[in-house]
Formats: sequence, C-alpha cells, structure tokens
Amino acid sequence: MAQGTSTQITGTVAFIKVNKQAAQGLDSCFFGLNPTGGGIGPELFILWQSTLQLEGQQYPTAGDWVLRNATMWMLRDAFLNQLPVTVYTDDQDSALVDVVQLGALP
Amino acid sequence: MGGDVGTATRSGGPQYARLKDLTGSGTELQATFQTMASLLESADFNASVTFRIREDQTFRSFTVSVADGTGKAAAEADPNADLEVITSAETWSEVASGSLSPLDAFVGGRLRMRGDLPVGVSMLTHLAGTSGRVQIC
Repeated sequence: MAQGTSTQITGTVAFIKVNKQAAQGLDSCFFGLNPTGGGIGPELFILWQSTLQLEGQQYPTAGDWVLRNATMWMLRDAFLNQLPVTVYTDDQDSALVDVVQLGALP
Repeated sequence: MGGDVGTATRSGGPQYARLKDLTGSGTELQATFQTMASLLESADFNASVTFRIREDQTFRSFTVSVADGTGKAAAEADPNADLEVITSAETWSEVASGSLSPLDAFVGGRLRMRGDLPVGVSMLTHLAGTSGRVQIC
C-alpha cells in the first residue's frame, strides 16, 4: 500500500478510458472518480500510461498487464454498480494510482 | 482523442503544449495568476479555475476567472469553480514560466486536476505558448 505522502480518495467511478495505441507508445488507462461527499466534479487519475514506462526504458511485464487488467475490472464493477472505491496515489501531488481498493478493509 | 496531433515516439512519448510565460510581471504566485487572467480576457469562453498551490504542507488557493472578456485573479478558492488544479509551488513555477507543460506535470505525477476537464483544455489551448497536444485523454 502506498505510504508517506500519498493521497487517499474515496468515490464512485465516473468514467474509464483506455487508449490502446500501443504501437505509438501511447497506451494508457485513465479514470475519473467522483469524490464521496461531493465536489466540483470527477478527479482524473492514471492507472497506467506507457510513455512513463518507455521513458524509463522499462517495459511492462506480463505481471504488470495481469494487474492492470484485474484493476480495470475492479473499476468496471464499481462503475456498473456505483460502488465506492478508494484509490491511493504515489504522492500527494500525483494522479498516478498505486492502489485501488473495492470495499472496506476489516 | 482530441487536441493537436502530437509527435509520439517509443522513446519520448507525446509532446504536450506549454503555457506562455506568465512570469513577465513577477514570479510571485499572485503575479502569475494575474498575468493568466489578463491573457484570458481575449478568450471566447467563460471559466473559473481554482489553483491549490502547496508550499511544504500548506496550501494557498488562487482563482482565475474569465467572464464575458473580463479576467480576474483572486487569492482565494472559488467553491463554484469549473476546475481545480492541485500542485506544488515548485511545479507551478516551472509551469508558469513555460518550461514545463501542465500535462507533462500531470502524467509525471506532479499535478492533479478535478472538475470540468474540457475547461482545462480550452484554457490550455488559449494560453499555449508552444505547439503540442492540449488534451490528455
């Protein structure tokens, strides 16, 4: 789980957008979260964006793709059923998501 | 997908538009937002954007708005803003000077945004000082 100065936001999924332009190094997945308690509108988050990997010369592994797929399905279920999800970003100024949580931890 | 057609390569990714230099009348936060408000007076849209700028663990809020050709900058949040941008003072300094695209800051994990995202696209299109993509997704 993200630690330190990460941001934690809970809300419902407003949209999910997948860009599959992998050949151009532009494959990505963005989603919007309407914060619980209201606000001015959905916050935009990045589940993955390949250019970040490419600039670091680090290609996603098969394991990365399995996790991306699993996370996207969690978001899909949350979107369809309007379930609250909690996301943790890697920094307080960041929209890069480290953790997606569906449901409350005991 | 919208915005300008960017240059996408396997090594560099897309090129995002950077802002015009907003530091001409001073590098203080308020001065950069005042310059932004002035530049927006020629825009053909109305908008209100609140910027929450973090200095260490303290946030300062500024709102830039344009309505019917009149631009204003205020050192306070607008609860009815169309868009909210959250970033550090260090990152804003780079964005305001035109050396860092706000979209590069976003994909690099240095800026967050919430609200009416097309408003952000309109503002970046109007304030762009370089060519490049103005839309993130």
